[in-house]
Amino acid sequence: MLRWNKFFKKGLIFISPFLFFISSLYGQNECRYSIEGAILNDFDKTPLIDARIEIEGLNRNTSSDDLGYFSFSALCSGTYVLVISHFNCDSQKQIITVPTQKNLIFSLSHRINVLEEIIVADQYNNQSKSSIQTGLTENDLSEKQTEDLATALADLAGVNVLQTGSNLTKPIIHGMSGARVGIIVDGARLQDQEWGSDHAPTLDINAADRIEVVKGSGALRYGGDTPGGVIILQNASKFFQDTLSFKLGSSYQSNGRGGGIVAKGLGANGKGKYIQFNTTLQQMGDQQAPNYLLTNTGQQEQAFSLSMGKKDKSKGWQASYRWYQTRVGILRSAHVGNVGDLARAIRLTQPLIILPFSYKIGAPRQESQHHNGKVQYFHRLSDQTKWEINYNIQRNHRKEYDVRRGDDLARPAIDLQLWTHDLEGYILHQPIENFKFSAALSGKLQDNYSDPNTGVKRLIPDYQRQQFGFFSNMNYKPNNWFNLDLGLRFDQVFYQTKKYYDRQDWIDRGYDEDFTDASITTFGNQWLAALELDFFNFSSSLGMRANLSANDAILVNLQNSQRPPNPSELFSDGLHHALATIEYGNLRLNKETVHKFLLGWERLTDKLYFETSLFYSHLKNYIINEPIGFKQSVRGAFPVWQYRAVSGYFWGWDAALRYQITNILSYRWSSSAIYAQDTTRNQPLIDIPPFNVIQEIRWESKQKKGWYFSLKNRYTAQQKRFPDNNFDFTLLESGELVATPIDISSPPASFSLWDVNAQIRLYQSPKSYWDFRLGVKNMTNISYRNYLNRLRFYSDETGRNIEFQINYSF
Amino acid sequence: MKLFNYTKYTLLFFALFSFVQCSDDETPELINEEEEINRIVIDISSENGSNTYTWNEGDSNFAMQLNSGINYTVAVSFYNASDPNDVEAINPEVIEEADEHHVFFENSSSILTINSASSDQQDSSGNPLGLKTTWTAERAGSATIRLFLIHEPNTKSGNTRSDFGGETDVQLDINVTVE
Repeated sequence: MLRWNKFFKKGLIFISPFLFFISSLYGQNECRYSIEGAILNDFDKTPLIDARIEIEGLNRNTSSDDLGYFSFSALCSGTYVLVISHFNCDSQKQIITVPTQKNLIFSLSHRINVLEEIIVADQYNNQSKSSIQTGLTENDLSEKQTEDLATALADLAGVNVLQTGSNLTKPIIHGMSGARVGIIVDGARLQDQEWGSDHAPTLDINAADRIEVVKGSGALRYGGDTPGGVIILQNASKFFQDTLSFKLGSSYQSNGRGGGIVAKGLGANGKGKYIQFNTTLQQMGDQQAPNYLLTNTGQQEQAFSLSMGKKDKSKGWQASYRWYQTRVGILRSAHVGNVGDLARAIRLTQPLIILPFSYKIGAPRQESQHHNGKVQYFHRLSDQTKWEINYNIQRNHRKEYDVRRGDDLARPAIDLQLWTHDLEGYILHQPIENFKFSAALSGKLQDNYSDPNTGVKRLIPDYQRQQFGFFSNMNYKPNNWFNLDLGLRFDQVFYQTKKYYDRQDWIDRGYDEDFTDASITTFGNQWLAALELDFFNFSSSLGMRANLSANDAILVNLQNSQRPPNPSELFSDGLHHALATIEYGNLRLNKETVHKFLLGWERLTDKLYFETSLFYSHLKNYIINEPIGFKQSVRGAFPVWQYRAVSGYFWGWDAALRYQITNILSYRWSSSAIYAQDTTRNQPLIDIPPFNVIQEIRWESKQKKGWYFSLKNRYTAQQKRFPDNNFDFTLLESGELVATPIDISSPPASFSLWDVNAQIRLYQSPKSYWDFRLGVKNMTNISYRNYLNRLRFYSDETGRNIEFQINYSF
Repeated sequence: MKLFNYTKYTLLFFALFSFVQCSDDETPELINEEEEINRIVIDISSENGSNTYTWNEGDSNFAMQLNSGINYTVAVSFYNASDPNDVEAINPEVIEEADEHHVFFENSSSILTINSASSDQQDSSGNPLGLKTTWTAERAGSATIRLFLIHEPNTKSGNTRSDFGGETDVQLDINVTVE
């Protein structure tokens, strides 16, 4: 059982359970058998990537994927010889009989004593093995090809979605989101102005082969500032596949009356060269709540990526370029002028403005564009040592359009351009078989430009950010039962900015006394302050994994993460048109420190997979946004929110279970709960995901490999713990001003959603097949509102959505 | 499988990076908010003469005195006075986009009545825009009248702010005393 256990460690949790069983007869034709199996590294029983599997005498071959998995289809019954080879291992011959009932698991030993990481350029393999993680496989992603990142991950225990309307979503891990969650694309942090709670990650999930979620700050190589967790978009290693394959997908959705197309292609010569591309186009119109249309909630997305690489015995390179562009409508009625408008919207049962269906995306809307380029060169110096150098460049351009008068409608109210350069040198050294050491030095330069052509004061000023980091990780694995990781990271972060402050604001906030070294240039009432801020951060992580038996493993993680305040927390200055609040940054903020303790238990038997984790986070200088008063303006009094640091803690629990009831019937369950308290003000923290449970029952063909049907229920409880940020506004009654409270704090009621999914796969030839999928979300078309949706005051969530998808692979 | 000329692709890839932006140390341009309304002027005229009340952003109080039994013509003007040397009148823009705007005085008191004036501008459907109104001071007392400039109202008729929908561009409380 041990090797199975090891297998699942690699984030395989959600792969369909039958994957590692041999599928047998399907169809009447006796040459339609297929075999599936996996290749393991004999040393530690982890999957062996890029092993070549050949059927002797048939001229058929394939290679094992990222999970060590391989398959052959269209085999006749009979006896075959499989030749299994790997770049750095001795070849092995295995005789198999088709059809077979056995699990095809083969172990290869390394010819010389080097680790797989050194041989295969697997730059993603650096998160500690002892970390608590989960993820989505290629099959899951194929099903979710029209979804955005956060929605796709939402079924995983401990992951929730922070929404702004129906289109803008951000992942929440263990109750934290935004800058506290790192997103890694191509081995580099995505730099897409993640400080905004309505800034959805600018990436296309179709360009990934697998997505992993590491809970907590264990993946220190990518930064020590992510106490929530890290999301890693991975691509399978293609160096040693011999393939030319394409996939075309198209989908249609009833809600939004739109859809998309996806095209993917991979060419590789099996000798160390590959090239791959991916493109996605999507367009949706206005979405529909059960009782009304959600005007101006259309969306358009275009994405393209190209990657290639080459390697030989000791060195190689990989390069990639990704482009992503989106135009996202925000509910028209969610744009308000003042708190009176907000109060009236809260009192209405439906949005103020409901227009006929349209594909047009007017104001308010967001437009963003992201370029992401990466080059990597790696070199193996010896059997024990490998180094690599990575350079990543990103440009993020974000424009936000408000409802404005006249000609200004065509001008964005926010126009930010962020350039990021990231250079890293990395070395991995393994002096002895059970000890690994890695270290990296990195430098990052960011430049933000806020275009003054908006005619609106900059929400975020022009700034430059420099970061220098050192990272090191040690892994000790004395035997197959125990694994220990220790990681350290130091970061020095400098901000340089020139920001205009209203003279009175500068004085009112006491900055004239606390920031005497800021050089001030006066422009009438506007003071231009040149500011320099620097932060030194130290993060560390200790992870242990003990396999108590062949079926059980215990994981313990101790993490300390430090995060410098982000530009929004330091500098923001502007009116939020959906929440009718003025948001101010705070120059006095210091770095945020989170100590996190995680305890996990995994159990795997023939029929059962179960994982659960418990965590406690201690928060020091935890940066939150809170109301501090009112500002009088020509539109009446606006609540002013300012960032501030508080102390507090999180207690959290999540769990996932999968149980194989019969051969074709399986049951899945996942759930999470969080208790979060701000001890400075003695009140609950805001926007904490309420208790939720996801259950799914799935019928899946083993015979034909080809179909499944699933019924899923998603239950979310009402959040009972929330801070009271309500405030009064004045109504006119008989010529008198009467104070009336506005309830912006109370969470909406619990809800329970039903989804169904069905898919069938039809083979045209052994290598080409069609997938047809029909899915219905919110099948019963219930009206509900979601606490984690910042626009919940304005409308219900989207209603029933029927999705039809056709994929053709060849 | 000699599909590609790798050297060529490598060069192409590095060419993509050649547009790297150089950071500058320039002074960011000062932005004067162009759409801002920060001055409101109300002209009232009656048989007894005329009076002008001005409210500037930051003023805490806006008070007006009327005499009972008198009819007043009240004209409201909006300005962007961010730049004192170049005060911009907003009224022309409001009149030009009359269909998307409405000026409304919310009055729940009994000391005066407010009706649209015959000289008021109209939108394309013939609805009064509300820039000019007739106020009749009925009896002595004091009350708060709330001035609204509404952007994209759902309708142009109503008695309270809620009737109009739309977004509030201006909300100003006027303390009216009738003697």
